[in-house]
Amino acid sequence: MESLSVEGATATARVMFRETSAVERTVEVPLSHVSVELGHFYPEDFRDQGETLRRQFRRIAPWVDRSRVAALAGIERGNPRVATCLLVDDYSERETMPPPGTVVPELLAAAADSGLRIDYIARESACAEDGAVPLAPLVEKLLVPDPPDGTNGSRPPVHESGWLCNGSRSPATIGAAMGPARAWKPPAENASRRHSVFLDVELRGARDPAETRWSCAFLAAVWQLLRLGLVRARGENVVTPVPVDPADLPDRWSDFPAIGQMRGGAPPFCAYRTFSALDTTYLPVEHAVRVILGQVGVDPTVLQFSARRAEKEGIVLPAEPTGRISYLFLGP
Amino acid sequence: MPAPVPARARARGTPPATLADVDVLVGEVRTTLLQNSHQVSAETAARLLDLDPGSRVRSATRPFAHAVSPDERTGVHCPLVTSTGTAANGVGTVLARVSVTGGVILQASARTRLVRAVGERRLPWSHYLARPGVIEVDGRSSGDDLADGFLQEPTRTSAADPARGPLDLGAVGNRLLTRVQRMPHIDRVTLLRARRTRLRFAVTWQPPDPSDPPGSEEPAAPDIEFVVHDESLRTLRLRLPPQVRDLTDAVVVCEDLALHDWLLSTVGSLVDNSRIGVDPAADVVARIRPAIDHLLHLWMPGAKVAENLAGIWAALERRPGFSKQWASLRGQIQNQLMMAILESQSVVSARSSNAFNDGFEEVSHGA
Repeated sequence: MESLSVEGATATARVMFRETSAVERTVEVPLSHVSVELGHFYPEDFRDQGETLRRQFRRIAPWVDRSRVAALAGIERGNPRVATCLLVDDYSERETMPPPGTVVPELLAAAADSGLRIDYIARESACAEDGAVPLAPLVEKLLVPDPPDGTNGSRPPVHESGWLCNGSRSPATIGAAMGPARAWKPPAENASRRHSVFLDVELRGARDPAETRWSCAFLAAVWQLLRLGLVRARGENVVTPVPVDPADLPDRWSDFPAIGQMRGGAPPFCAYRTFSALDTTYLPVEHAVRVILGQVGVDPTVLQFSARRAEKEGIVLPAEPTGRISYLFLGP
Repeated sequence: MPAPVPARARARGTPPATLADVDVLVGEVRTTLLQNSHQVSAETAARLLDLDPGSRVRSATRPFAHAVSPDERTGVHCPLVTSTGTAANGVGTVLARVSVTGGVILQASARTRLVRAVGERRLPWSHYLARPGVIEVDGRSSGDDLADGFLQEPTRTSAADPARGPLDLGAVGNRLLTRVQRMPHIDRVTLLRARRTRLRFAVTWQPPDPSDPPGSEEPAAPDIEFVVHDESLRTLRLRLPPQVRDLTDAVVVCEDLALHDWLLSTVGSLVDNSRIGVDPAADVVARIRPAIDHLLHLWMPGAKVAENLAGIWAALERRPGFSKQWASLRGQIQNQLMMAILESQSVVSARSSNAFNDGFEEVSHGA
């Protein structure tokens, strides 16, 4: 937008001139206080008539009651807006996942047994490329790799295709066939405290060159960003939950919405903060998620949208996406 | 080439530096010609600049066709040059964008704001990424020290550790230019010979003047130092009034100045090499023609510049007088066009009088 004034003989005329296409536009999304993830489900979780599911929900239920979640959200009084969700893995083992007609009723019943309600069920393939917007490639393009000391902009970021790390890799010790053997040098974590915890994450691989397979860690990072309401495609919202009638479920996961809304009147899917109750086997995956999210260049206006709105509700929200994520890890 | 010409528009005392406060905007603008045989449409320009699927290309049609890519971020952790030689290291991100003006001029600008690091330790990367376009600098150097260091030629800088080169914003912008020039939507045929220019800029802010009455409407004037070093390098040092805080506006001024400086240099060198007074005017005009077709109408200094920064252009128009030089170039071009018309008319009239004479002779022969 430009404004300019024209000096007239007697008065100054103020001119506001604007071209819509010349102005940045980023939409806001509705936000809950906390998005609670009740689990991440694989085909093997559906092989014992819901016993595994009931056990999972029984163990989680006390940790996600309203008072605990309200404290996590930073709300002192009033009713927190808590949206519960879970992710069904129809991506890594597409063929073996039972159809929505089997999975959804089992999940809803098992949750109800522990007094939990499920607001949203999402399918993992929608975090990859199978939704309205191909999300995984979009988020990959937003990566701004963590620069090791000595990165001055003169060269493009060192980028092992499909991998992302949190520091400098150990240089290859087997390289030139006839050259002298080079001594091993350790990798180094950027901003480490004296000692490194170096992590190198596979973002994607390909079983055959025609098909990109996104890693569980990368899709989990996309999932966290979606729940935080931080993804936009050309400034537009990409999260549109679709109401699902549990009595009328499709036969195939590809016909199930990317994010299915299971309950009318559920609080918004996206939230200021996320809280995930997960099995400890997910600890390395979530470490990888944090390494990835720490390098995703989220649109600063989008980060400010949620921070500003939280502030109006008296909630202080960390500036960084990784600061908005909490976990509960449960042993087997 | 002429020696560096400092265009000091208005001198002001250098503000005293305090250790607590560093705020310097540094950047580099690279300007060149889009490699295409004709000017591209607004749609093609938007496709060329579509670098980030998350955001959109911004495009305007007034006062001229102009499209800008979303900002791209690059992470850096490197030494920064200081004019005093004080050691300084920075961690943070650089913002870079690329634009197409008039369907022919391609510009990339990379910029970042230098601020003092809060602690001694490097923080997790997510901290820096949440503050795009900011580099946090350690050490004790002042803002002026960093601004002047940034504008120095980078040759005498990294003697201490050649493996750790100083911040290189030019390379960041250059990569963007290369990316656009390799896109499939253009044919890589050059319209005319044009040099790629680079304008390095450093902006600091004058300290609030206690003698100014509070709430004074009249902002202090900016202090400008514009230096033409050689055919391609220019430096711009700005000290802005404390009221003028918008970084985007400041970057737009630098991009606008780089664009018009490039227009002057490009059209100037085209006219210089057009053999005026040596070859027939029609040949001269043929050489100048790409400028007439694609560049002359783009001269609108300050058209995109925010009102509170318009004083910068006004000062530069006084000295060195960009528009005066441009008007003189236009005049030269117009004169050659006139000459070409006159020469062609005189050729035509010479031919027709020859034809008459021939006919007359024939008649007389026949008589």
